[in-house]
Amino acid sequence: MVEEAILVEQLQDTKTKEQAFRVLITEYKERLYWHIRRIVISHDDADDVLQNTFIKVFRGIDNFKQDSKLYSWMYRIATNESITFLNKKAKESNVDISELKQQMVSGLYADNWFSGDEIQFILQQAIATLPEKQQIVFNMKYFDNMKYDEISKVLDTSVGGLKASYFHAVKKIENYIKTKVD
Amino acid sequence: MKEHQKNKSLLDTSNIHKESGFEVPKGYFDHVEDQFSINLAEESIPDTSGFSTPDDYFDQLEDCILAKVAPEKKVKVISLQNKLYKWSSVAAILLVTLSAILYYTIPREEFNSEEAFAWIDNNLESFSENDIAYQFDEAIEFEEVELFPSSDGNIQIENFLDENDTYILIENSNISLDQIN
Repeated sequence: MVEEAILVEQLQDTKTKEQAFRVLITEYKERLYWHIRRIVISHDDADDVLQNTFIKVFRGIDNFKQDSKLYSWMYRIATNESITFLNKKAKESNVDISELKQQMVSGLYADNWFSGDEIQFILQQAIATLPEKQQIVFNMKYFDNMKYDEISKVLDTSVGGLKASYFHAVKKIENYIKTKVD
Repeated sequence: MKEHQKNKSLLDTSNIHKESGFEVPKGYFDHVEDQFSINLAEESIPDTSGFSTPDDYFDQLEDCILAKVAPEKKVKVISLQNKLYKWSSVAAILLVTLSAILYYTIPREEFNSEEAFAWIDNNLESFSENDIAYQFDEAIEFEEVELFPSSDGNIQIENFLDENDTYILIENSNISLDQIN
């Protein structure tokens, strides 16, 4: 992996920007995709949001000051793009975002790109019942194995607040699964 | 010291705590129960989400995204278009200037269009920038204008015309569709 500072330097140099950007996509495409996918649920939507995220990164990289880590900055863009996308979709469907999420999860069984079993389907239903921020914190901590201080930099929230969010999220999901399975 | 006394001393946790040198974050023990409770709850949650992607989805992403950021070059195309205007202006200036020079230097009775073009071809290199500029009242900054586009420039123009569809070209040229239809 190219050292981050060197990569940023190459990304900010017109001559090396395109090649460096290819390296950047290769490095982060899967991590960002799965982060986005867990928020927007559908593969097609995740693909759109991922591409928009990278386009924003490409256009904004010249103004990136390295005050934060590159991946934190990119995760923040990906998170904002995903939430903006969902809000727009909810508005178009004339429903609120939590109702939209429930509808999207209900359609998972018919989704070609969901190969989960019943317990994984229930897990997605459980996650959809959480407040939006708890969903994101849960996904980043549980599936991406991110540390609290890393999540803190992405979501601009205190580590204490994140711990509390994660604790509540896990307990609610546990209870939801218990009631569905029992 | 007797053996049992020695063991007792070793098992005395207060001594171990004081002498080990290890420390824990402030408030660590306040959250042990919560952490244990989370660990237990996590065991009832599946490890994976069940989402999948098309087989070769990630293989094509770089090309797909780079193709989308390529229209950034459109900005350059606009500046290229500006260059076209410059070149057109210069060509027009040259034409007028050379016509004026011909008018005054070639005897009228010998003037015809074929000879005029032949004369321009033969003498074009002998005109200095000052000769041309002399024909105009306003000073012309020739250094700012590339008189003859390089072959590289021609290739860029051709690429621009090939890559952009007709409607984009019309839109950029400020000609309305009504004028064309």
